[in-house]
Amino acid sequence: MVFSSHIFLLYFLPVFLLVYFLVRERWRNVVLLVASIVFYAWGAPDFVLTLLASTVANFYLVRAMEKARTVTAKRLWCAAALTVSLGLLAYFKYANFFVDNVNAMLTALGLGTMSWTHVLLPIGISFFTFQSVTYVIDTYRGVNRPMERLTDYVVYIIMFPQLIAGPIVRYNEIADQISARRRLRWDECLQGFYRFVIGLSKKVLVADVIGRTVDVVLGGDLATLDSGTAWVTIAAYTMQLYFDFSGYSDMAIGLGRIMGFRFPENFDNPYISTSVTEFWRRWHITLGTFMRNYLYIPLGGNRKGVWRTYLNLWVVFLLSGLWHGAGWNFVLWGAYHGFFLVLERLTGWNQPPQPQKNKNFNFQLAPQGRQPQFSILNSHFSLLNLIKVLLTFLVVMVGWALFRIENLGDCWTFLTRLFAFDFTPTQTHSQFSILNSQFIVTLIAALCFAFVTLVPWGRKLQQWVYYTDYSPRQHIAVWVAAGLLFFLCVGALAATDFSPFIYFRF
Amino acid sequence: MHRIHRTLCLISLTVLFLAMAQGVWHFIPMRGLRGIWVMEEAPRLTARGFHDGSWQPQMEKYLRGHFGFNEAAIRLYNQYVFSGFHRTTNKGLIIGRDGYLYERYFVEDHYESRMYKYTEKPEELLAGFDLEARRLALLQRQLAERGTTLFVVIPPGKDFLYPEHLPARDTLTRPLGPRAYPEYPRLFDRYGVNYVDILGWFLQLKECVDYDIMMPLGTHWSNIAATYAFDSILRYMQGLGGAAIRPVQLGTPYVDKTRQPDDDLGRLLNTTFIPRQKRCQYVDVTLAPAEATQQKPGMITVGDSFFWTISYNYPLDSLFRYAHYWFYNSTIYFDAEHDNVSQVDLRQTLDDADYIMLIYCSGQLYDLGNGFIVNALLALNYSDEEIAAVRDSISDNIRADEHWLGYLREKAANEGIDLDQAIYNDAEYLIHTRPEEFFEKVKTKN
Repeated sequence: MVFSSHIFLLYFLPVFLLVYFLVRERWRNVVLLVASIVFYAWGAPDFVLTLLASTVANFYLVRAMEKARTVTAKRLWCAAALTVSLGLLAYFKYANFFVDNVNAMLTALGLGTMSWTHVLLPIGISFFTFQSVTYVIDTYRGVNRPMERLTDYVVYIIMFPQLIAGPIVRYNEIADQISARRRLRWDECLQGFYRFVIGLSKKVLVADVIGRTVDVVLGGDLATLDSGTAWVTIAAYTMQLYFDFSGYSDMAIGLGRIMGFRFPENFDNPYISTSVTEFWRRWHITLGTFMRNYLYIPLGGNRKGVWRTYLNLWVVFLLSGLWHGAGWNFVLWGAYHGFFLVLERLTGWNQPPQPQKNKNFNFQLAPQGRQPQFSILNSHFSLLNLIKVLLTFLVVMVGWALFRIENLGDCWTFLTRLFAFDFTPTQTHSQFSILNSQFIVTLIAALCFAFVTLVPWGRKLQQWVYYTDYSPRQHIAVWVAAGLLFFLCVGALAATDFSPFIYFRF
Repeated sequence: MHRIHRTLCLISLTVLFLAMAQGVWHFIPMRGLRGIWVMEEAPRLTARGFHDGSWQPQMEKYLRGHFGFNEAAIRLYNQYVFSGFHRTTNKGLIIGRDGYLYERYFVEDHYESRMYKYTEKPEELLAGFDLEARRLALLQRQLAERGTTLFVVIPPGKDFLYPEHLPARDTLTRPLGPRAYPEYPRLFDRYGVNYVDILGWFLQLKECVDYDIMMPLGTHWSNIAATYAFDSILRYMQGLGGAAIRPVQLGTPYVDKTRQPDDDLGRLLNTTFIPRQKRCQYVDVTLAPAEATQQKPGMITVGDSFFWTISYNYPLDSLFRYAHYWFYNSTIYFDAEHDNVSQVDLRQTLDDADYIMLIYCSGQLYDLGNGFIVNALLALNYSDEEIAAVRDSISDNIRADEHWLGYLREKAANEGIDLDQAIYNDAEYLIHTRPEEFFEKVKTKN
């Protein structure tokens, strides 16, 4: 089931919320658990039992780890729990890729091929695997005690708002909320509803509209693209991906808030970054945090010398690429980002232009009236910063071509068209496709919103939309606007039937 | 403050449940959506269907078309798209310049980009037009011998009449094939087929008349244009020497609220508010006193939807003994006894009728008659038994051809029909597309 579907918006959600609000607090996790199983089973009925079995196994393995008396025993239990989680991910996500490549090699050597039945990728496996990994490791490290109740643990892993596409919630961030979260508050519910509608609108009214045209162009003959069309298309995909994924995160965060949870933010205006390093602190923040805490630091981080740091960075981004998809294009995409990260470290490009950003910054905890960090008008900002923002955007944008076009040959063709700088009108179907008023206006609006926080009033607008305690009158106005947007999105989903979530496949 | 939060939350939840209830009981009447779309049936839930994941997408499709207030939600989105971006979600519509709307196939036909009845070989298309015109001439002669007058009317296609409002070409053009208009009028002249080229007539009058021949939001001729046109058609019918028709008188044009079909495409946008267009003119039709001895003729109309506008404006019951309307040679209107042409005794009907009018606008001429011409020729010249004998003979030939039979076996399996039915269908197809190969009396001369 996806959030942007009628079955979820008009049937599943109201029934769930009604039951959730009506039952006593101690039953709410059970309601959430049952709803999450139904939610997952709707889209992947075959895999729900595997998911539950692996989750239960992990729960008991971690309990055994906690009770182990020796370090060696602890390590063994930890390894067993990680093997269950990561083994499933390896099998379901990478086995096909591995066998395909082995077969390609065998064929090249003239040795025949292995027979293999392709495995279907269970939806959301990358996300809930990472969550279970945080649980195992945080408990192993003694950051938190393991859950007392099995239901609480299963809720943590398969809670439907963030089950499919994150945010990846670290166990220690949410453990207390699962076992003893605050009583439901109407104002939180309303804020959650607003946040959900913002996410739904980003997805349905922006990402889907742009995505339709992107699919037409990239589904056509890439060799005949003129450079103008190619640049517009890759810019459009850049916006589609951002609005799609951040829209999903907004919906997840909003739903969580309605239920009384505080999920971590996943995006912080990534396209206003002045370096690729900063971009990764603002894009898919929870994945970045996961990679840092559970991969980069265990690999040695920056504690083992400069070259080892570069190697660690490179490895982290290669694996991050592979996490996004079992394909060579994703590996290349990870390597591409790793290259720029290392380059920035070598050249000092990633040095912040103003006092270091608070790494633990969380929107919800940010004090109101916080000064914008990047503003054309304030003293921190300079023309150099603007150039850095644009160059970073360019690097990220070109990287998305590797991310989007899975066939490497096609990707190369697209990149050559991109950098051919041949703007002669080709009168092709692709070129006509982008001359579509809805696409153009939506793309321009998306670009404006993506960069709006570069200016002070944009920052204020964002602050007002997301984090202001409204007055009663403002509440009514915002509620009416949110209701209309919700209704508009429901109509859009009925009038058009294009609404795939991009990050689901990861 | 707390009360406002609680009230707004509870209203939100209530509205969601209201929508659910509306989807089931439809207790609030809603303005229905216009157009044609496939309504999904509610799928039956089975353990197997759920387990293999085939039930869920069907259910989602079903709910997409059946959730409460879906009409209002879709209209709101369409309004957003239309007002905000000058676009429509209706795949059959094209928004032209200056607020003009067009049906997609007229635009495609105009630009010859996705040629209606597209063919890689233009000479084949031309030969097809030629053959159809010759068949029509033959039918006209044979009917005239029986006292029935056949003629063709070509109402205007919007792309021909108002090309200046068409949108700019938005796709690659492939100017490959000849177009049915003006090819058919040329062929009708050559073979002596009776016809009235209303499109040509309006093209000449377009700059002179002070009314809209087609409204910006309409795809048919306007009510006033249809009224004037049919007045001329009635005179033309009299000129052909057929049975006398009671004269009519046309009143003075007046401006009134929009009537159907003057904004039919505007309604097909399915927006919350129908776009505005300039006010339409109308003219009333009154009957002149009838002569005591005058017999009312019987008329059969075979054609597209342009006849509807005539039927809205003329008292057909008073002008004709009957005026049956064979919509695309399929569904029958204004006939108390028959609903479909398959129920009609064609031979008898052709003998009884005084006039047969084929009315096809320029964009629909590619399917002139929708099979009526061949059916009528066969009915006039051969008995059912003779046709059945030919069909049997063709069927035998098919059965004797292993290659053909193999193809039909596969086709029958795909379509879920038995082999005999597939053979019968192929034989019927041959009879109706290539009758000249099997029936001597329907052969035409070049």
